[in-house]
Amino acid sequence: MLKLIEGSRASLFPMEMDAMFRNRAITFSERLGWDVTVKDGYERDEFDDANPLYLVSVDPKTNEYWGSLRLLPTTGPNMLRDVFPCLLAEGEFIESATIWESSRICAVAVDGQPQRSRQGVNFVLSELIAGIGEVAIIAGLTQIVSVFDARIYRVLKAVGCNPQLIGRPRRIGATMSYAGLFDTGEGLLAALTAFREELGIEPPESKELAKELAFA
Amino acid sequence: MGNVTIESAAIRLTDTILGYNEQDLEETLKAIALDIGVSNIAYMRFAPDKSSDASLLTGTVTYSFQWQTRYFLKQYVLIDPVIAYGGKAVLPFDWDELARDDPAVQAFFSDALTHDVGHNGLSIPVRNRRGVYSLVSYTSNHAKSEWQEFKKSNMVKLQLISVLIDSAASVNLKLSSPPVKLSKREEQCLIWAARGKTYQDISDILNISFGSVKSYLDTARHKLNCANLTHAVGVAIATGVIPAKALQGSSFK
Repeated sequence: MLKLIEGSRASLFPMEMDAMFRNRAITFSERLGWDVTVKDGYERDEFDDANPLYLVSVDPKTNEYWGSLRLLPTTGPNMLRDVFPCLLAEGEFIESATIWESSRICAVAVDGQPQRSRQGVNFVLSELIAGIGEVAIIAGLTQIVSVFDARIYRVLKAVGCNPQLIGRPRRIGATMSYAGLFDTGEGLLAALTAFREELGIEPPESKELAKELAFA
Repeated sequence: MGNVTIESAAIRLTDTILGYNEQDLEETLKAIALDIGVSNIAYMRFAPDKSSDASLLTGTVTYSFQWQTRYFLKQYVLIDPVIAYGGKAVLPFDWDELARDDPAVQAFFSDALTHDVGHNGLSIPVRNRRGVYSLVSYTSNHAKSEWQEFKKSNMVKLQLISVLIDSAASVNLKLSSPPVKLSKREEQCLIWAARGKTYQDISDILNISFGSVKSYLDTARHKLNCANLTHAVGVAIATGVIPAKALQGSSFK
């Protein structure tokens, strides 16, 4: 199950946030060897203070954390412009009302998660990417920009995102990183709907929940 | 209301941004509301405060003068859930999604209805490079089913218009960019000045000489590129150089 959690209301989801920041520390610092700051077991940066939108995948039965990603409007502070401008040609930047940036996608492997899909894609990662498609509809987005490694590039392709690489690949930490754009239009929606049916993924449902809590 | 075309709205706003449109923003927003078939458009800008509660700074709305006056006199800004929720929202939201359990909130919405604010409301959060938060709201009186269809077909266009409105408002407000850094003393003096204190008051409060107060305020005014102290106070609040929250507790007594 997917939860949409706005950064300003993250304190209403302490369990999800705790697991997410720990999962990010393990994924990006330990496993991928990125130059990220880990403090008290959390990987957190300035963009977490910039009121991002988190997509968090949890076990629909136990609410156990499975994975997460972070979205930021490109009209505001974002990673590609403020941290990784080296990935784009000089003077080139992505800034649009209808393009948001996805970052920090990661997942844990625990018992009870559904099987991989026919294309061999991890369930949680595909659920998260399907969630981006939902957000695109709610927010009126046309494209997503992201910095990713070869592994995530394969996942994006497998779920039907067809990412277009922009700029030039660079080595960041232990992995090659790419900047890419993908459309969130009808094509993606159809691909994601098929995917969701195959894997039995439910559409996200906790935007309302978050609001109810915020006003409680 | 179906599919709207945003070309004329986009032209009006880019003209404002480029300085070709002398019309004030309220008139431009009224014209755009007609173009895209909504009842009203409201632009709100929040203080780029580090604290969790963003505070409303300034706004340009197409609501009737009567409603704007009423909103101010009744201090609806403290009740209005669009402000409370929208000041820190990321995703667009329909006003129907806002909790209305509070009788004060219910009364506020019924009062808004009798003043032609509109039955339906949609707010789109916008943020800019400096991390400033804004909220652009669209209202209409169409039947719910039509309104749902309108939102569904036009969300991308409304995102685009909202960001253009934010840019146009920034031009209109003539905000100074890049952010100005005041010294601790300059900031303290400016906050007390914003609270209505005289040079002598500030000198007594901060226990520094009258001349020092004058020179701190002069430097602050220069840094903010302002003509006089009133101008400096306004710009400092509008650009978040001094947090709007710092003014709490000020009174006219």
